[in-house]
Amino acid sequence: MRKLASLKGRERVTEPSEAQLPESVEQPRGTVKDTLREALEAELSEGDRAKNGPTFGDAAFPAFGDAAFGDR
Amino acid sequence: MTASAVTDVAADGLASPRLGEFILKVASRCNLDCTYCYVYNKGDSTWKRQPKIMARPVFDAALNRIAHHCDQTGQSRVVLVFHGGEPCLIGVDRFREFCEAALQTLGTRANVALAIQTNGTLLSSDWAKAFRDYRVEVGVSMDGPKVLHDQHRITKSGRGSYEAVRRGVATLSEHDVPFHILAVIPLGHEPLPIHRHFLSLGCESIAYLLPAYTWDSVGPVREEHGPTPCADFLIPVFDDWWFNGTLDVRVREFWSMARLVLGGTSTVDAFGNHPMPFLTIETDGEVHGLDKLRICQDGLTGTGMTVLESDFSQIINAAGSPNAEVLAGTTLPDGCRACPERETCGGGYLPHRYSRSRGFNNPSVWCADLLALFTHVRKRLGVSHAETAARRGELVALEGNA
Repeated sequence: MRKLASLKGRERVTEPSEAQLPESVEQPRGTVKDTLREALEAELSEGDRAKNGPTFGDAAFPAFGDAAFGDR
Repeated sequence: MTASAVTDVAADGLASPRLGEFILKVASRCNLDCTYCYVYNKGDSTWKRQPKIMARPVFDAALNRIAHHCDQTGQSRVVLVFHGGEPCLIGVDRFREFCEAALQTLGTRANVALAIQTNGTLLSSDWAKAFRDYRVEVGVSMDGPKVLHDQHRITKSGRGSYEAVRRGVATLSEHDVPFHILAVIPLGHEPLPIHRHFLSLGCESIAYLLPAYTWDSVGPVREEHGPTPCADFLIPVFDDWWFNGTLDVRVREFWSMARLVLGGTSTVDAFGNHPMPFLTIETDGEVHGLDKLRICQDGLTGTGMTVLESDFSQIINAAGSPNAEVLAGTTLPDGCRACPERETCGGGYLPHRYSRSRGFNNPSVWCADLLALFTHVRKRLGVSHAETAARRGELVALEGNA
């Protein structure tokens, strides 16, 4: 499947103002703030709509990726 | 996504949406009586006429229908969710039998993933071993620390269930069985102690459910908790996750909201208004649509057709079935058409849109909350509406070329 290269590296359009940020928070490497966008863009770069659609909300389990369907 | 993207025409000529997930109500009763339960305490009474436990012939019939469905659609994977009521009421021996049967019947046709959603009170070492043996994804329902959890998640005699759930979760951890927390948002409570309590349990992920109300029932809640009680809870949790959390523990709703803001689809049915590719099978074999629609009207989810005599394609295409629209994706409510988040939120969760007077043509009862949440997630990610639209277009084009 073709990669969606154009989604990567796009500049953010708006930035949250510092006044909106909670006080005090140390930001260790690997926090969600630093990793979420990249992780999602990697996930979406393979194409999103080939996935199976949303899961039933009243059960907590991950939206199964291919790894969960490995050999038993 | 359009329905046609996931629809094949079966040999009998009926359209057959690919159903990737089947909710197996293996027990119709529960050992708890949670005050807000959408199965027992929101006006639906269909559970009363259901057998307490799914019999083996019904389970086998369900598997055979699922197998036939996989053959029809050619799909390569399927998710089975053991649900209830409380699914552990079937006993661990029967559970193992069911898992074994599922893998034997379906394993040659598709990759099978098994999951269970439990209140956690009946978990034992034997259950944990079964989960490990069959690689079952485990969701545990919990509302937070004891003082909060025991307000709503109570036994039929009114006693709190927290201690039993903690023992269950500890048992899972002792056996290295990963688990996920499912919580109903406790309106009006301090959010961070609750969120950090869940983190302290060592769960893999957390899901926060918007409480189950319709426009006919939400009034008193609004009066007590104000205009945006869900957002008031979730935004501080989001910021705690954003600044202090890592992706080792995902928060399901935030993950999906961020996916939507980045142009993708939701991985959960609470927002996005995408086709819902799953059906529910009750203990007597009757096929139901979206389970949560029970909160709208007594009996609304039922089809009157069972896996004992009908294929899923026949059930979905039956005249008057509410499931066809659910499976195809519903129309955006009129009141959402001018909203800047109409393509991300999608009008919210279908049951939350319902009123007796207008059916599903309403925004979600949690509309103001959802708008505040999407606005906040968008701001944190630094993504404009225009960028979301552009990304969505690129992903649709990519899918078209796949």
